[in-house]
Amino acid sequence: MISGTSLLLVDDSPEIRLVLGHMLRSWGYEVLLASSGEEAWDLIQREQPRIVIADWVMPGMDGLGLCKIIRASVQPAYIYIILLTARNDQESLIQGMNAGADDFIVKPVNLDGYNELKARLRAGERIIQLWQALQEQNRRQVELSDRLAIAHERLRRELDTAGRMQRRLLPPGGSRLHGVSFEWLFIPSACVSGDMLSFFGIDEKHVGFYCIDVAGHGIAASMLSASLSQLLKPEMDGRSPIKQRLAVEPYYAITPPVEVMSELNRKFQIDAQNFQYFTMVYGLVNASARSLEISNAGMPYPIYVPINDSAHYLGDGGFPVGIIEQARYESMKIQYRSGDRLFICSDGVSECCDTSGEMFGSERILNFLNGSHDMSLAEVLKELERIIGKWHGGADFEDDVSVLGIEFP
Amino acid sequence: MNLQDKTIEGILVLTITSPQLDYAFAEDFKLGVADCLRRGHERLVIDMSQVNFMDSSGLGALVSCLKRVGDPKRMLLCNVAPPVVSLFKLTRMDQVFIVYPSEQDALAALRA
Repeated sequence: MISGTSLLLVDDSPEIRLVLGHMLRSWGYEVLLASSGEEAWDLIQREQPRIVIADWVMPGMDGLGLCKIIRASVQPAYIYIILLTARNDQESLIQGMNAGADDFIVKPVNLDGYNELKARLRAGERIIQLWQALQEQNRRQVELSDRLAIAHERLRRELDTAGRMQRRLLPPGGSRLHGVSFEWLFIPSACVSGDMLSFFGIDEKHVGFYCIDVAGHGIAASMLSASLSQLLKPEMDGRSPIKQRLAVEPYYAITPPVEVMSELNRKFQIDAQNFQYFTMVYGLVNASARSLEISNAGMPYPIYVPINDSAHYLGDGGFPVGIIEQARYESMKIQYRSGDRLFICSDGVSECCDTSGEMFGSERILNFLNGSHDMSLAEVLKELERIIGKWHGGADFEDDVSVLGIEFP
Repeated sequence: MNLQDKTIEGILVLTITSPQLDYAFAEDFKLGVADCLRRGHERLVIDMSQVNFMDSSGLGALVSCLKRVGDPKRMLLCNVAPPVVSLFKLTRMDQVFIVYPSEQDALAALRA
């Protein structure tokens, strides 16, 4: 028994109130008494008893009426109602249950009757306890979901900030280095991206550029892509693989693309704990020799668009960086002509799906670029963004989309 | 789980029943294979006939399984669909994974 559970006994007979009330008190209940349905309803609203034992037949509002008015109202806790009845027929039972009664008992007159009432009250208390446990559980759920919502919001804001910081790592679009023009397109799938691209002058005639796509996306991928962007700078800090200090003139050496890949592959080998690897294109332009050397570590084939010829894929791929320790990388050399263009797209472009699930595919990229000779480099990238946006149908992209476009002088 | 396993003469044969081995499935796939390997299998065949798309996460998962097995000769692939073959070629993983046209061929190679 829940000690001190408040209980309201409603009966128009003073004897019943006296005898039964005394009995109920002796069982540990805190007993309220009412002599009519109206008085009971008044007490219920003020005292909120957990159990109501009501006589079925009363002048004015009877037990059924009281049941109905209780059930129609909003109560802070469930009120368990037992109807006292002289009737024991099925029809009354149904009528009482429909009105909202939980249990029935014939008015007790002897020890057996009291024992039955006691047992029925215990059953009622079990229901009340279950209800309370459920309430408590609900309250905790609500509290938990509130906390989750707050944590989620904080995480989203932090991701937003991280995304903005990451975009600041990107070079300015519309740049020209030693006459070589660069434009890019960058659409992260979430706030942060595993894609990264950049370009930089290395000395007075060399320009380097890269595109990186870290496998997977989200936070882990973006952390690796951000740290790669910090590493891949044309600074002789002893860490960057782009340019090395030399003891003799000209006091530096520019690392060939194949060596850059091998060096990164040594540095970023995956292990059992860390399974982040990446694909990458690294290119080195010699503006005075009008040549390009390019190495591809598993990115989609770069697309070369000669000024007066049709677009074609470059090279035949290569190992991604970080998954095969003994990987050997290759590069190809191209003598470019003025106006030739090079495009490097992350797989987020070719693998971007329309609403039916069909991928954009590399052929569509190639075909589009093939017909893009008359557009400026910036226009080509804008149009590509429009086309894949339209293909995808407006929703957020599932994978990061990045494209680097280069035009040779 | 989009992974079915059977054992043929002591050799584990895993069939990927998802059409995509991608970012969404890669982690589960990796754990599923690791689970099977923990049961003591040292040689396995992965039937890829139902996989028509694999992304870099899927490729990473497959490499991680290979590293767990330790030897490409003990983890053979079969029924690899053209889009996956293209990805293997692009990433040179065709030099790493050993691919057979059918489950029977792969099983025969493992028995030899």
